[in-house]
Amino acid sequence: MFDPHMLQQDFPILSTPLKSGKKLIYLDNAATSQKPQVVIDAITQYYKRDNANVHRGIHELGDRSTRSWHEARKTIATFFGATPEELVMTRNTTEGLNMVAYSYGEACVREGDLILTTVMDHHSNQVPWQELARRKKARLEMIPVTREGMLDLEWLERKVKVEGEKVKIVAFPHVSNTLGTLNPVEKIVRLVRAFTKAVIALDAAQSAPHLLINFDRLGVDFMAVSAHKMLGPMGIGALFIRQSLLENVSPWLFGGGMIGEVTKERATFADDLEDRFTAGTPDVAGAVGWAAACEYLSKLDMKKVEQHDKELVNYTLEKLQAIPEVEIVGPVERVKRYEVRGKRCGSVAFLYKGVHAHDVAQVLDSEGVAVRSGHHCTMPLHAAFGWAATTRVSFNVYTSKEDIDVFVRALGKVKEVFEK
Amino acid sequence: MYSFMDKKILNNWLLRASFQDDKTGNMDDLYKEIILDHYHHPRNVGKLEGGHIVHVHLANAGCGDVFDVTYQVENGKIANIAWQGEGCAISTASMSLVSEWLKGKTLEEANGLDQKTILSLLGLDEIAPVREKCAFLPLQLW
Repeated sequence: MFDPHMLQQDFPILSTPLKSGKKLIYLDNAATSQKPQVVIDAITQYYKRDNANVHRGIHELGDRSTRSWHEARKTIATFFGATPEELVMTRNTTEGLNMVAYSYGEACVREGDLILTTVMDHHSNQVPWQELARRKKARLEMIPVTREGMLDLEWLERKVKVEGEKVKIVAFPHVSNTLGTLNPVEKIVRLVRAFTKAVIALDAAQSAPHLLINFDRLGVDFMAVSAHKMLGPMGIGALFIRQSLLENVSPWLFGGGMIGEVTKERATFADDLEDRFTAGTPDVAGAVGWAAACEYLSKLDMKKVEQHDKELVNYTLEKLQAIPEVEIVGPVERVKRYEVRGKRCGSVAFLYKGVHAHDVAQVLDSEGVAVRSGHHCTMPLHAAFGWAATTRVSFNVYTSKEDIDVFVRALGKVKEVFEK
Repeated sequence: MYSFMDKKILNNWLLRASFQDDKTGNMDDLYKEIILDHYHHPRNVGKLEGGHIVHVHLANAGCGDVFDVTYQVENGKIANIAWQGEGCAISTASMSLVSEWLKGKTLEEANGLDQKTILSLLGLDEIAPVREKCAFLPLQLW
């Protein structure tokens, strides 16, 4: 196993003092992760040494930049068990999911068809489908969440059996950013494939930082991720598209780089699939930084990263369960019977009796502990459970059990302040 | 390593993100007695019924704060006001203090409610950008 304390030295921001002089305990990783020096250096070095536009520059820098772009794409695709052809660079997960809606959904969804998403999804995997359904006069339904915080697969089974081929798209998250639930992807894929011809879109934003992901083996058709949640830079992400679908997916951004031939009347699109989905100048430095992050994680070994996260999740659940004012959100009831362990990933969100999440976060901040409070872009989920707002702690490779201890101690201060 | 120009640009950016003379993030400054008092014992809670009642729904989508405000206008003045809902300490205290402030004001005076008024009611000089929406939720009234 790696030592998170050692890793903390790779992340300059973690040793930058806060204005209070307190040490930063960063537990807002599900929103965005911090960046190791290697990622920062990779980006800086690209701009200092290699920067030129890709593909068209017949000069040394053009060559270096193009190579960097292709190498980065290869590294990122390999990290996710995909081929570079299957990888379309986006700005983030949200853009990836919108791309599925615009490029595939626009062409394949008809009036009266059914699109399925889930109540636990991030708004980025709900709103694009609401808008697509509205444009196409199609129907949108959300797979409910059980009291325990799991997807209601019995509901899904009934739905796909009744609707059959009317179901055109099924979208769901690998890991819920609020409940922390790790969804059984293979099981859902089997269920959907057994009764429908729908394409399956997976939001892997929250799983990519913690789990060894093999796009090919997951069996989904589309998978969207963001670099910034997995130690890479902000502003770059990817949509993976299953090889056999590539021919059916039309580009949705048009312009330079993605064309074959252009006349005054019309254009043909590049045969090269990598080019076809890259309209305009890509974020080469971002890709290079992201590739460095993938290499950093690979070096740690994603199996160990996964184990590290599991230990932190369980440790946090145990500590929080001992605090009477705290009600944990997501799969937990059965944790005591050790059944749910391993079905959570990345974060633990909770309610604090009598104190609003924003006030909890503010008190924790005064102790140097950075957490997230609010609805975490899952308003339908919060509404379904009747929560106004929740407080969430989330982890990454540099998070230690001592960080959780500091957080739990700081939580004691909430009582002090609000019981006055 | 940096030329003079570089340093100027860098300092400029550092300044934008710095916290010089900034007390807005200090928790002890934020949770003042007056705020905690109004959070624990909010004033004018409830719902007005009957004629000539104006009803306004205030919401901070991003936070989950929701307040329903009812007020009664008599002779151009806010004769009575009541509100109910759920919010954090800052938005609740703000709503409570503003409801007290509004009572008895003419509509014209009430319209003068602004950020400065709310900050002074809360006993704050300023508020961190991340908590602005909480404090200024009552501004949705007009």
